[in-house]
This record gives sequence, structure tokens and C-alpha cells, in this order.
Amino acid sequence: MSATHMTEASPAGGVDWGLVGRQIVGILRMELRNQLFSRRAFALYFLAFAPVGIMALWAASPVPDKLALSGPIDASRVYAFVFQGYLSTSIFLSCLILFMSLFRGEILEKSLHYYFLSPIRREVLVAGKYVAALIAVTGVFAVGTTTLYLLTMSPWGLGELGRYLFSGPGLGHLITYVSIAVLACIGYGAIFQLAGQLFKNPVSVAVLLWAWEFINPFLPSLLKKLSVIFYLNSLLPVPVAAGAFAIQADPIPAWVSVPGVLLLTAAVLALAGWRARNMEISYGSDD
Amino acid sequence: MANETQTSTVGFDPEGPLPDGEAVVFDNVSKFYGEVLGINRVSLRLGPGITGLVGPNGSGKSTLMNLMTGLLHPTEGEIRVLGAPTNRPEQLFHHVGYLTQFDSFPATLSGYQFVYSYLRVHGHGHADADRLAWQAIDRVGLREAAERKMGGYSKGMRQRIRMAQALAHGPRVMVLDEPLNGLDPMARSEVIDIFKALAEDGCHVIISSHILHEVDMISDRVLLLSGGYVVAEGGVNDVREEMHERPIQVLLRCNKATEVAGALFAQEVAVEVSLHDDRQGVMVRTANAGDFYRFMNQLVLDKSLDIETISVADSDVRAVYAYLIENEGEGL
Amino acid sequence: MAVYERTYSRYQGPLTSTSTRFLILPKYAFREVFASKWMLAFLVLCFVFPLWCCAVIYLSNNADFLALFPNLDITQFLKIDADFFFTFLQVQAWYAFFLSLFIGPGLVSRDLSNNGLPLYLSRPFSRVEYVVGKTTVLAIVLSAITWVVGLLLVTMQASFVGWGWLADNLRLVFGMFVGSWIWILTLSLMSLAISAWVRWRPVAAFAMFLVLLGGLFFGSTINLLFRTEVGDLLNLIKVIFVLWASLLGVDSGLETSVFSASVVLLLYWGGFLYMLNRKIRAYEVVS
Repeated sequence: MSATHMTEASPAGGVDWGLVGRQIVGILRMELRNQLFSRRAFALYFLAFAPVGIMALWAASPVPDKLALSGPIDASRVYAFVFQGYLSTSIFLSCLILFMSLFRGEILEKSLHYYFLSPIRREVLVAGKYVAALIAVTGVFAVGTTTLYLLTMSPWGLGELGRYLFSGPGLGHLITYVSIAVLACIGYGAIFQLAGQLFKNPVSVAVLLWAWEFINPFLPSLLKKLSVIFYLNSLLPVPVAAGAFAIQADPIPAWVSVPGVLLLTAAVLALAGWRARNMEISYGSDD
Repeated sequence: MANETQTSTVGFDPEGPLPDGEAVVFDNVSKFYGEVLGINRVSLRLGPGITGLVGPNGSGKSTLMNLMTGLLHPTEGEIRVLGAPTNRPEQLFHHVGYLTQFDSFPATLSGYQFVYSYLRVHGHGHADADRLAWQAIDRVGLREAAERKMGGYSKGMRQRIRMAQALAHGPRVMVLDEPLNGLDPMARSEVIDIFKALAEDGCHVIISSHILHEVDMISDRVLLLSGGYVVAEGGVNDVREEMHERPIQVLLRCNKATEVAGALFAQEVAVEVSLHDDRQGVMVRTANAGDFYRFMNQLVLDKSLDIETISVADSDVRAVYAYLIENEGEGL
Repeated sequence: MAVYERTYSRYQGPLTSTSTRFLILPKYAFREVFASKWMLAFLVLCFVFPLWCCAVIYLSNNADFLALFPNLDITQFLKIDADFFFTFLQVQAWYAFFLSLFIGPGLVSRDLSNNGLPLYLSRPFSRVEYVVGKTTVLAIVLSAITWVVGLLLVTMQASFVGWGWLADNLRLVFGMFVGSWIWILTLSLMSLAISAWVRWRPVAAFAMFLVLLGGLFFGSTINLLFRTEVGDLLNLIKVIFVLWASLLGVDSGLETSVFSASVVLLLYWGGFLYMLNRKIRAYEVVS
């Protein structure tokens, strides 16, 4: 049998980025199939589209009138509330399930060694898996966020909706909400991927993180800044009242919060790459 | 001998040193799992051909293989496979394939998708990966079942498809942990032929197995492990010769077996002689094979013996294994 | 052709009675469950509230203690009635839930991971016996912290105020017993069903958490968006509280009817049993 032997070193002695690119495409093929078409994907679709189903019922019912909403501008307050729940529950949990299983799930299924026996840098593997999960989760939640938004604004007819989107603040708000959803996936995804690599029982870590994010409105200003949700909330185009016992803090401007989340992600992914380089395969009793 | 020094060279012409770039080299390698010993101070140099790793459960065979392929990192020492360090998968796995002991796989894939997908991860394009996948699948004789989900495969089929995946990219070093597990006799024979063909092509084929006679049959050399130590290595017969202080068993079928038995005792060249029930043969245990054969030559002439068979009864791996491992407390 | 003497004969010694054979499962499961110090510590914690209730019952019937507050109608605070036991059940329900988070996830998943089910079911041991056996593990532990200790409190109160009180409050005894068993069965079926589908224990525990919290979240969202109480039907805890209130004869403060709560509970049970039926098999179907 003959096979074309490839090495990562290019003739010039540097990294053969073409080969790395092909390897990432190979990882994406495998991982996207796993993330979007396996049993695990059911949780993703349920979390993303169950709220959409509820909102569709809401839009089709006479409830908006009962709530004395006069039009999309009023409804944007409803959407701000819905989106915050969507962010802290659906997006958070989906990222948890998908990203945490990237490594831990494969360890449980005893299939991670196939990747480790491939001629790819472990850092490339981390990046490939992360990008694949990110594509899956952002794709689904971009659709989910957009559909939720359009449904919330739809009870007053397509004409009103069109005017709100294209002549009012609607489109800008929608783009901001989708961007926040994507940014949430980027940040939470990196954290959960690392947790899946570091901890045998990463769910406890996830529960703690969830609790921390949940109590964020009630934390002092300094502690608030040690969470992802605070930076995401700062970007919301329509602020949401945090509740009676919440402690107010000045929102962080977008030029700080967006690079902040991205920098945090880069740091966490670098740590994940280092961890992957040192990982050994010893499938213990993780059940 | 292994118990004298843990360093040796296995599997190539001893007259010329095999360069690092052509060998699997263990340099004083130890692996501890916490306080539990995996392998201890192993130095090896494995050349092309088939090397059999033999040892009881927990002897360190899989640890050695996992270290060789970077799935484990050594606590001490250094390993290089054809010059590539094992912590550089991007270099290592262009020329290494490993069939692990883990009977697991991505559950939703068909056999073809499994082999093809990991070839894509290797960096092959579609056409190349498709061709190599089918070549490997054909080589293990699984074409008809290749499009079926692997979840429905029998153990033997799973073993074969995993083997196809391990050798699909054309590795120069094939590491196979218990590769004959679950295979029926026909498949075993076919798979053994694959190993032999790989070895003839100049590949390093490193096989662990509990099925000793198969290791004996297919290996150019063996490496015996016990308790994390390499206790012997070399050709089966070389190992046997190294064990000259140990008695060997020789089976002798001849027409005057009773007289032979008496003479052997009289000359004190036998430790133990047992006469066959039909009085036509003896089983001799001797501590000095050289003296025994010289005496037998003389005896054949003196007594005009009509010898039907004379064979060493325990020169296979099983015997070596038994001497070195099962009875290691007695002498090693 | 060689003909060998038949030397094999089947086991002819005594067998465990078919009616009690399922108890073999809890016998061995308990060894594992109580091997964990955390588990033991939590079990002790589960009796803290019952001890507090014990103290309240004692003090409410202690004339010397009541005499310390001559100007205060302390009996208003220390009233031992159906509401008191309703509160007791509500608190213990959460302890029972967390206890089942400890014990439940590993009950079936371990057998599935280790291919143990074919071993069980290739013996004279049916799927029903397997499920009953596994349910018994949880049932025994959860009984100890719910109805057993609850009935001890009832007995204590009756011993203080006279057995006539018991005769007047037989509904309380019945309600506590049946109500506890409803919750025990719900938790057991949920634990087993999730354990059968999710082989990774931490994730199974998290999934149980999600069943409860997901219902609570979606239920609350529906209630808020639609200005209704229908969302309470998705909230398993509220469904159970409605049933308990009805059994104990107290006001739950919820609008959900007993009938709809019963139907929802039966649907949950049916779902869990369906999940178990799909997975508790001696073989695996590969499609």
C-alpha cells in the first residue's frame, strides 16, 4: 500500500498552513456531524427552538394586546426580557453541552485517541474542535435569536415590522442581539471547552459558573466584572431592569467589553491548547 | 540479557548500528502512574521487521505501546520513533499507525466513513482519502460491510476496521496492541499475512499478544515484559541460548530409549529423564545443552541408535515466557 | 468421534425466592452508595429539618416554654397542623431530590456502560424486576427522610396531645404517606430513566436538575408572557405541591387544578417509563 506522506514543515521550513487548513477541514467535517446530527444535537435544537415555539404561540395569540403593547417599540422591551432569559439559559446550557463534550465526551466514549493518533498539533485540534462547535452553536442561535426577534415584533403586521426594521432601530437592535449571542457562544464556549479538558467532573464547575452568572445582578460592582454575563448585558440595546435587590453598576462600553470577551477567550483557548499538548489517554472510570 | 542490562538493540544487523532515524528508540524510559510502576528504566532500539511484545496482564506492554505513540508521556527518559519525538504528533503520525486496545469508535459512522474521516483529519484531500480508505478496507477484507454502521459490527469486524484505520495512511511503524483479538482463524491468517507483508516492505511492526504461539510464529524477535521490566529480548532462539544456566527439555524418540536414559544419568548430563510409556522415547531435561548434544553424538555411534526424532521441546516463546516470567522468582 | 461422559449438571441448590429476588439489587447498590462519605454526610443533613420540627412539636406542647411568653400567642407560630406537615414535606422534597441526584444517576448507567444488563437479564430476572430492584434503592432511602420521619413526627404530636388528635387527623397520615410515595416514585422513575439514557453520571445528575429547573424556567416564562398560570403545569415541583395540598387538605396557593396536576404527573411517569422501556433491554438495536 502506498500513501502520500505529508509533513507539516513546508519546503521553506515553516508550517505548512495548507496542510493545517486541510486538517482543520477534516476536524470540522467530523465535529459538525457530531454537533448537528447526533443525539446530543437534540438538546441544542430543543434549547434553541423551544423558546421560539413559545414565542410563536405568543405572537399568534391576543396576549400582546392584553399586555397593552402598542407596537414593536413597546415589544422591544418584551424582547429584551426574553433575550436575557435566552442568553442565560438556552445559550449558556447549549454551550455547556456542546463545548464540554468536545474532549470530555470523547474521553467517555473512548474515542479521543483517534485524534491524538493523527499527525496534527494538539493546539490545532483544540482550535478545530472549538471552531466546529462554534459554527454549530452560533449558526443555530443566530437563527434562534433572529426568529425570536421577528416573532416578538410580528403581531402588528408585516408592514409595521418592515418599518420598524428598516426605518427604525429594529435592524440595528437585531444585529446587536445576534452579535451578543455570538459573543456569548465565543466566551462560554472557550470556558466550557477548557473545563471539559481540565476536570473529570466539569458539570460541577458548570453549575458553579451558572450560579455565579445567575447572581451577577446582586453582586458588588467589582465582582460583577468577573463574569461573562456582565459584559454581555452591557451591550444590550434595550436595558432590562435587574430586580428589586440588584446592585446597579455602570455598564461597560462596547469597545471594552467586546475586546474583553475576545481576549478572555484567546487566553482560555491558549490554556486549552497547552493542556491538550500535555494530555494523556487513560480512559478511567468516568461514568 | 535483559536482566543484566536494560539496554539492547533488537531487530537489525548487529554489525552496523541502526541510525536513530530508522529505529524506535527508548532511552532509559520510566513511566509511573502515581506510585504504581508502568515500566521502569527501559532502553531499547527496535528495527524493521516484526517484534512481538509478550507478557502477562499488567506487565507493561500497553504502557510501552502508548508511550511509543505519545498517548502517554514518560515520567523519565526520551523516546524517538524514526527520529521523531513522541510529543510531536504532527511529525510522528505521518509514519506511525497504532491499533490500540480500546474497542471503541465514533458510534454513528460507517466503517468507510470512519477510515475516510480520519484520513481527512490527517490532511488528505477527498480523492486521496477515498482511495486510501478503500485500499485499507480491501486489505483487511471488509469491503462488503464498509457502508454499514460500525455499531452493528462483530468484534472481529471492529478489529479489522480499526486496523484498516491504523494502516490507511501507509505508516512505516505499525504498533498493534493485541491485534488478533476477536478474529476467527481465517481472518487471523489473513491479518498475519498483512503483518508479514508490512515487515517485508521494511516496516517496523510491533505486536503485543497473549497468544504466544502466534507471536512465536510471526515475530522475528520478541520482547518479554514482566512487572514493568523488559526481562528478555531478541530472537526466540537467541533468548534461549542466553539462558544456558537453565535446563532445557529435549524430546528424543529412538529404538533403545531405556538404555539412553540409563546412559544419560550415568554421565550426569541430564537433570531429569522420563521414559515414555511405549519405551520408544525419553524426555530429557538438561542444564547444559552443549554437553548433552556432544554426548548424544557419541551415544548414537556407540549404541547404534536408530533415532526417529530429536527436538527441543521448549524453544518456543511459551517456554521462554514460562522460564523468565512465570518462574522469575526462582532465578531472575 | 470422541464421546465424552457428560459431567455437567445444573445448579440444584436453593434459589432466592422469585418474589424477593429484586432485593438483590439494592443489597449491592447500598454498599456502593454508602461507601461515599459525602453521601453519608448529606444523609445526616437530611435529618436536620425533621429534628427542628421535632423541637417545634416538643416546644409547642411544653407548658413551661409557652409560659415564658405570656403576652404573645406563641401557638400561632408553633401551630402543629396540616400546614405544618405540608411545609415539612415541601422542605424534605428538596432534600429527597438532592439525595436522588447523588444516588440515581449511577443506578442504570453503570450497568449500561459495563454491558451488565445482558448479564442480569440472561438470568431468571425480568426487566420489571430489574426496574423494581433499582427503584427500591431510592425508595428505601427517600422513604427514610420523607414519610417515615414524617409519621414519626405525627406520632410524637399525637403522643403529646392525645390519640384523639390522630383520629381527627387521619387524612394527614394518609396524605403524608401517599404524597411522599408520589414524590418518591417520580424521583425514582426520573433518575432511572435519565440514568438509562445518559451514561455519564455528572451529566445525568445535571439532566435531572434541568428537568426540574427547565420546567420552572419555561413555566415561569409562559406565565409571564401569556399572563396565565398554565405554565405551572410544566413545573414538576408545583404539580407535586398541588397534589400534596389536596391530599393534606391545605391551600397550595396555586390555581392549578388537582385533575390537571394528576394528568401532568401521569404524563411525566409515562414518559419516564417509555424511556426505561426503550433502554432496559438485554440487547442493543443498531440501525
